[in-house]
Order: sequence, then C-alpha cells, then structure tokens
Amino acid sequence: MRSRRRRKMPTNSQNLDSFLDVLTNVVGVLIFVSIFASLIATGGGNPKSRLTIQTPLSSPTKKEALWFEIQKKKVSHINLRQVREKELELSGSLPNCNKPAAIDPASQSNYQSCLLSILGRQSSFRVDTENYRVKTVDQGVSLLFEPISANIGENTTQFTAKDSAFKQVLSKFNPKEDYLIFIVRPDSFETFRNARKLAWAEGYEVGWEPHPEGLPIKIRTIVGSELPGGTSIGVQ
Amino acid sequence: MSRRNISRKPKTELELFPFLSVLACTIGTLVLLIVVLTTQALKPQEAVVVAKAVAKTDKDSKGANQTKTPIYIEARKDGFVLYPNKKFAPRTDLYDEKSALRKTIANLKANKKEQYLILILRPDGLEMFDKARELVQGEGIDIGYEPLEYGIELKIES
Repeated sequence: MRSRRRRKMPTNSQNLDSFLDVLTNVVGVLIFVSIFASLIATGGGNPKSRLTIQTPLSSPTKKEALWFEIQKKKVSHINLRQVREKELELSGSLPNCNKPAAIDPASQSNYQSCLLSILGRQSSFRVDTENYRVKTVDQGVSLLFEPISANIGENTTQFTAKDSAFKQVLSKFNPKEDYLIFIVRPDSFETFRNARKLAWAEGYEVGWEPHPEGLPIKIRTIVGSELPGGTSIGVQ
Repeated sequence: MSRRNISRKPKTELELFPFLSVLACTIGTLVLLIVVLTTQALKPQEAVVVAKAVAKTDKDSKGANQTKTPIYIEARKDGFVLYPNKKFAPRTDLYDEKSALRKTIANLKANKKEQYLILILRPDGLEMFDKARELVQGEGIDIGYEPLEYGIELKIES
C-alpha cells in the first residue's frame, strides 16, 4: 500500500498582533494630541483673540517726566531727576566766564581758558544711578545712559507684584504733576502695554518713544536742552 | 485501498480586517481633527482698535481722541499698510507724490481739523515709522502711534 504523503502547504497566515499594537498606540497618542490641541484652540475658554487698544493722540503736557526703558521685556527706571540734580550741582560750581568787552589779548586768553575749563568739567560729568551709568557725550550736549548690568529691570510678573520697584516709583510721585515716558525697544511691545496699563490704573498719563535695538539712550543735558533740535515726547 | 480521512481542524484565525478598517478610520478622523484644531490655535491674535470716544467735558484726559476721526497706517520694514483696505505701499511710495500713501497723507492734510493719523509700528518698521512721522508732523497733522508685534492682526472697530 502506497502511503500517501501529505504535502504540507506553507502557512501564509501572518501574525498581526504587533501591527495592531502599533495602530492602537497611534490612536491613543492621537487622542491625547487632539485633546491638547483642543485645549489650546479654545484657550481654556478665554477669548485670547481680542486685544483692545485705545486710539491714541499725541499731545504736549506741562507735567514733569519720569523716564523708563523697556528692553528685553523688562522695565527699568531711568532716574533722570537724580542726574539733573547732579548736573545742577556741577553747574553751580562752575566758574562764571564773563566775556571781555575790550579786545585785550590777556582778557581774551583768560576767557578762552575759562570756557575750556567749563567744557572740560561738563565733558567729564559722570554719575551712577540705580540702573544706569551716565556720562556726557557730544561735547556736553547729551547724556548717555549705559545699563549697569544686563539684568536690570523687572519683567511683567515682577513689576505687577506688590512692592515692585516700578510700583514704588509710581507711588513716590504724583500723577497730577508727573507723567511717564517709556523708551520702548522693538522686542518689548507687550511689556510696554502691560506697564502702561498699570500706569494708567495708577492715574498717570503716559508717553512713549520707540528706540532701535542696541542703540544706547541719549537725553539732552540741561545745557543741551536749550539748543534747537531734539524730540519732545508728549502724552497719548 | 482504504482512504484515510484527513481530519480538518476548525480554523481559529480571526478576521481582523474590519477592526483594522475601524482603526484606520479613527486615525484618519483624529488627524483631521488635529489639523483643524491646530489651525484654530495658530490663528493670529487680533488687535481690535476701538475708537474710544471720550467725553468732551473731560479735560484731564489728555492723549485720548475726542473729536477727530483716526486714519490708520501700519509701518513695517518693507513699507506701509494702508487701512481699512489693507493696501500695501512699498517704502518708495514715501517719495512718490502720486502714490496711495502720499495721497492718503495729502487727504489727511486737507482734512486735518476732522482727521488725524494713527501710525501702527511693527517691530521691524522703526525706520519707516520715523520717516512717516517726520513727514506727517511736518505737514501739521495730528498723530498718535501704537506698537503692535507681528502675529497680532489689526482690526479696526469704531
């Protein structure tokens, strides 16, 4: 009897378990991602897409300015009043140069040396404030404000906190006599809006001036402010 | 010759294709959902500029528009955007008196008792901003300005 040999057919059934695992994992991950995306899209119910800005109109003011710089999303006080006090101290100690009426060589020479001495003392004017190192430049016409360190100023969280340096400055002065000027760098527009909002809430009027990134701040000296040119910053 | 009966075992293999189809459909739907939600989430923030009317009797409120109608121009690195039609004016238009930008400024000058300019400054538009402000102030037109970062769309409501 001839035994029949059963031919074993090669089994072509594949095990799809791993594939299914991968697929179900993908579904799980996608569900998580979609939950996350929906949370962001809805913004937790906050309508983040509306930001109302009041229509500004620049106008001059007779109030005294308090200066601030906003750079790297931080607000720092430019204590110009302290600098002005030192400037006045200096000008009080300067000799009084009287222009000689006659064309006398000796008097002319004295007058010239007196002027040079004033210019020398004006040009070497230096003062340090809390945040800035200040010196005169442009032959005594301008004050140059250089930050004392890279970390000066307060960010939005810090200046909105109770007893922040910004709030302390605001509480020290009077909104009826003083107004705020912000020198705003292009990287800090949002911080400016937050600081302005706080200043408005405290009753202060606000002016601002954009300033290019990396360019130091220059403000006219008392003598320089008498000269023509320059920009005055009103409120808006 | 006796025939052997080959006993056939019942098949235990599962047919997974319907299940796979369901999974594939689910993945497709979720991907679509994520795309839609991400598009929503990445939509630019809108800045709604509101022409806030201040009472004329409120003399203390300096810096706020009281009577004039604002005309908006946005300053950016490569030029200006004129509102409300959002027409782009390249930086060379500043020097072309027949351009839409200069016509807008000329129109403002003619109606400067009723209108004034609000310049919107984008972070890279400082150069254009300074030039436009100098030009407008030279014409004696009242001006206000507001900084606005990119990603925030300007929408005007009055």
